[in-house]
Amino acid sequence: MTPPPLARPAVIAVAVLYFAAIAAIGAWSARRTRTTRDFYVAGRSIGLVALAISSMAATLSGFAFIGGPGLVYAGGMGAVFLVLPACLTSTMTAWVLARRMRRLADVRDLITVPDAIGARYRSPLAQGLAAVAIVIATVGYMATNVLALGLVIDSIFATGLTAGIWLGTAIVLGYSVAGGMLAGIYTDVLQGALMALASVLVFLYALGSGGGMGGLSRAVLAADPAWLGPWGRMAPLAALSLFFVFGMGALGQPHVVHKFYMIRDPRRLRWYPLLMTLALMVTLLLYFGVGFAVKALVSRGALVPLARPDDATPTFLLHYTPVLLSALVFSGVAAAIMSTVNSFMNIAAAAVTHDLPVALGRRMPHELRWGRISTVVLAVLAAGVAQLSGTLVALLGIFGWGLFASTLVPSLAIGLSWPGATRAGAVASIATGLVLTLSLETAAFFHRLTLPAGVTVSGLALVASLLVFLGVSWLGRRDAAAGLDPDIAVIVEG
Amino acid sequence: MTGSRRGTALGAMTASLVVIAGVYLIVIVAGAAPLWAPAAFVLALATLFVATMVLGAGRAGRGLGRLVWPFTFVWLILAAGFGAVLLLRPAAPADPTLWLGLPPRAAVILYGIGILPALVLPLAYALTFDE
Repeated sequence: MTPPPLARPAVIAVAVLYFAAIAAIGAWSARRTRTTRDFYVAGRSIGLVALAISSMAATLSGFAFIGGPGLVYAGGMGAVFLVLPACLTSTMTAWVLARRMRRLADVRDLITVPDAIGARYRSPLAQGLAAVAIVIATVGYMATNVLALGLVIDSIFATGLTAGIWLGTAIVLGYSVAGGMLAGIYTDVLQGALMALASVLVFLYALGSGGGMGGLSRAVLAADPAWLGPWGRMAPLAALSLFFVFGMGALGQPHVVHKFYMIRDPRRLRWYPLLMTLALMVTLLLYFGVGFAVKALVSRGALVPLARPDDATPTFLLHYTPVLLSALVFSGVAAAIMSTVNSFMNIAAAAVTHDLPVALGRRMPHELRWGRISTVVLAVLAAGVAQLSGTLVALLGIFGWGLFASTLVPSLAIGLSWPGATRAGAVASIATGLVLTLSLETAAFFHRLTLPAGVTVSGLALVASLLVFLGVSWLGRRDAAAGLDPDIAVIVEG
Repeated sequence: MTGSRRGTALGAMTASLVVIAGVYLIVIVAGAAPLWAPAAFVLALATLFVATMVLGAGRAGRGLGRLVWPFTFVWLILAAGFGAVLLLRPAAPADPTLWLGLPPRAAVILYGIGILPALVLPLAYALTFDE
């Protein structure tokens, strides 16, 4: 991704302003971060708007601005199925998890997602397995995002990729280590607002470039009608599988559901789904709009076919938007990546310094200090992976969403709503998710396994872990409810 | 949430997952999806999402109350929307009919499945929050 040459001074100016604002938020948050609870759950002090916008920013990485539009350009409507469940995932997550997790935080003083699993099942083993899954997935996610951040910084400041990776890591580390989740939340709010604004404006320009939706559709239908078919270039089952994995999988994304612990007044959760859904849908306008507009412009002959699908957004910005908006989008991409990396740093550090020691029957002294140290170590590890091995980044990157979904959705989302869920069911489902996702994704990556169209490893692992959870719990359901702690039973019952 | 309602939600969830797993296995064994597979997958998806919401929204000793309506609406939107997409004929490139600027099947996906639940579910959540 390279910014248009004429836009370069404006891109640099907006990026410098943006990084200065991030630094100011980091400094402000650092003075307010004194305890472990401040560091990991922002002192349970955030409001509704901050919760919704920061959750949106953490959910959507730079993929929504670069990879996503490229996927739409190349694959048509089928690529929409990755984000189509956004219309219901926020409300579903709120019904299943929001109030229960916030009440768990009150009664047990919890700070991590594996904490909730450990408390629900009285199982350090389940908590430890969940932490292992989180560490594996987050290091992979962070490596891919840090690599993307390095590319963006290189494209703006011409630093070179290696320097871009380490500069980007240092910036995110700076505010994450100093201000913990408090800095993360308020930088996310800035980043989310920037992403939403950029998305709406670019979408309007996308519509304007092709004569509205009708004009864009006619241009594409004349050249490539299959692109605008309901499944795009995918088989129907492949598109529906995406809907399944990205819809149900949303219930198990720890960097998002973890934020339910942080809201100051749980009664404000009433409006969380409305705000979060609106924020997601507005910010995803660019995802579809740019891919659609560029496809129409290429179909009409107004643009030459793209060499790489990922060029869709930069090409559109170069030809069809004002310089300042182009600059805003480049900062928006950096914002999207940084907000996601920050959330991953926080939950991975918590898994290492809090959940794994608890699973082993001991607690770390000076958790805040060790939290900061492990944040640095994990970020350096991710940046090192990003710099050293493209293959390893690609392999680790594909674990992310599917590993979270297959390991956390059954034990966390279903388990917190069903008193009959058992410890054995939770352990078996997390282990199933871990083993299937890691082994099958690795085999598929190295071409040892080829699945037919419509079947994905993440879909297989998710359905298997859910069935294992329900089946094993069903076998022991009679004793399960009686084995719940009274405070947990009240929460699980709703 | 009453025990029978929770049992129904869990039963529906399990049945949906069995269908999804079955479709995957058949596709793996046969090497391609049979004609009925997408339709079965659609019904399983709609049921799975609504069963998950029913399980999550349930409160001790209570039925679903007014939430029956938004949940039914979402099941119908997902099942009928995806079902219509499977049944409708493709638009003719020469003289395309457009619904709000998109071919009918793409419009059902984007405006129907992608937007209508977003207009209903968050409000249903907010309006029943205290119940």
